[in-house]
Amino acid sequence: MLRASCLPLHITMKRKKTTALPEKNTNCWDFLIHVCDKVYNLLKFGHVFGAMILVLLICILIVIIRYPHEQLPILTNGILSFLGKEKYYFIPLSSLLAISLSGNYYQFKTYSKEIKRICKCRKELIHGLENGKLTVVENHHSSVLKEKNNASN
Amino acid sequence: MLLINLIITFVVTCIGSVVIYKFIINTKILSKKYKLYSLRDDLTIGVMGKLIDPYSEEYLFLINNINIAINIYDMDFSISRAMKYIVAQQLGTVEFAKIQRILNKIHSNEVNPVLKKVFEGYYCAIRDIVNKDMKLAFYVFSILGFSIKFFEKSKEEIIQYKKDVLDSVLPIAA
Repeated sequence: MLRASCLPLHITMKRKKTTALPEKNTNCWDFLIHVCDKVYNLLKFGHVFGAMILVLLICILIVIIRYPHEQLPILTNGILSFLGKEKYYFIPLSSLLAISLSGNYYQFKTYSKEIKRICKCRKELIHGLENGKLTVVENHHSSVLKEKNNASN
Repeated sequence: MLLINLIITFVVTCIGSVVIYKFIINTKILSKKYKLYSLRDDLTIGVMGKLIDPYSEEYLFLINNINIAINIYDMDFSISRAMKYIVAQQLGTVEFAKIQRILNKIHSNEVNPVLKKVFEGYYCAIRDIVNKDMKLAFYVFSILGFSIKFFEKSKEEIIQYKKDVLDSVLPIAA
C-alpha cells in the first residue's frame, strides 16, 4: 500500500479536493441583519441572564443612591443580615434543584413523546410496505437540501 | 458566612441559566420542530398510501413550506429567515394566489382529509412562529416606527395630534 508521502507531488496535489466556497459579496445590510439575528436570539432565547443580573445590580445601586441617607444603614443591615443567615444557602440551592428537576421532566416528556411517534411511524411503514399498502416515494424532499438551496440563493 | 452565601448565589445563578437554556428553552424549540416533523411524516405516509398525489400543487406547496419552517428552527431561531419567509408568503403575489387556490380546493372538499389536517397543522405552526417567536420583533418594530414618526413631527403637530386624539376619545368616554 502506497502512502501519500511516497507518491510524486503532482499526484498528491491532484488528490486534494478543492473545497473553496464561492466568494460572497457582503455589505453593511448583511452585517446589520446578522447583528439583529444575534441580538434577537440574545433577548429571546435566554442567553441574557447575565445581562438581567447586571440590570438588577444597577437597580439596587440606584435604590442605594436615591434612598434617604439616614435610613440607608437600616436597609443595608437588613439585606446583609438576610444574606448572612446560616440557612440562606437553602433558598438558591433548592430553587436550582426545582428548576433542574422540572426542566429534566419537561425534556423527558418531550423526548418520550417524539420517540413514541417515531415508533408508531416505523411500525406503520414496515407493515404497510410488507402488505403492499404503501409504496416507496420517488422524490425525496429534505429540509437540509432546502437549506442549501436557500444558502446558495 | 456572608461571603460564602454570595459565592453560592453567584454559582447557582450561573448554573441555573445554563440549566434553563439547555433543558427548557432548547427543548421548547425542539418540540416545535418535532411538530413540524410529524406533519411532514403524515404527509409522506399519505403519499406512500396513494391518498395524496405527489405531483399535486398542494402537496408540493406544503412539503416545501414545512421544510422551510423546519429550517427556521434549525440551529437557532433566525428572525431574519423567519421574516423573509413570512413576507415572501404574504406579499408574494404568486405564492398568495397559490394559497388561495389551495384554500378554495379545501373549502370545496376536493382534497384528501389527511392533506386538510396537515394544512391546518402547518398554519397552526406558522401562527406559533408569528405570535410567540416573533412577538418581540413586532414590539420592537412598532416602538421604533412610532418613535420615528413621533420625532419627525414638530411641536405644533404633536399638540394638534394630542388634541385630535382627545377629541376622538372623550366622546366615547362620555
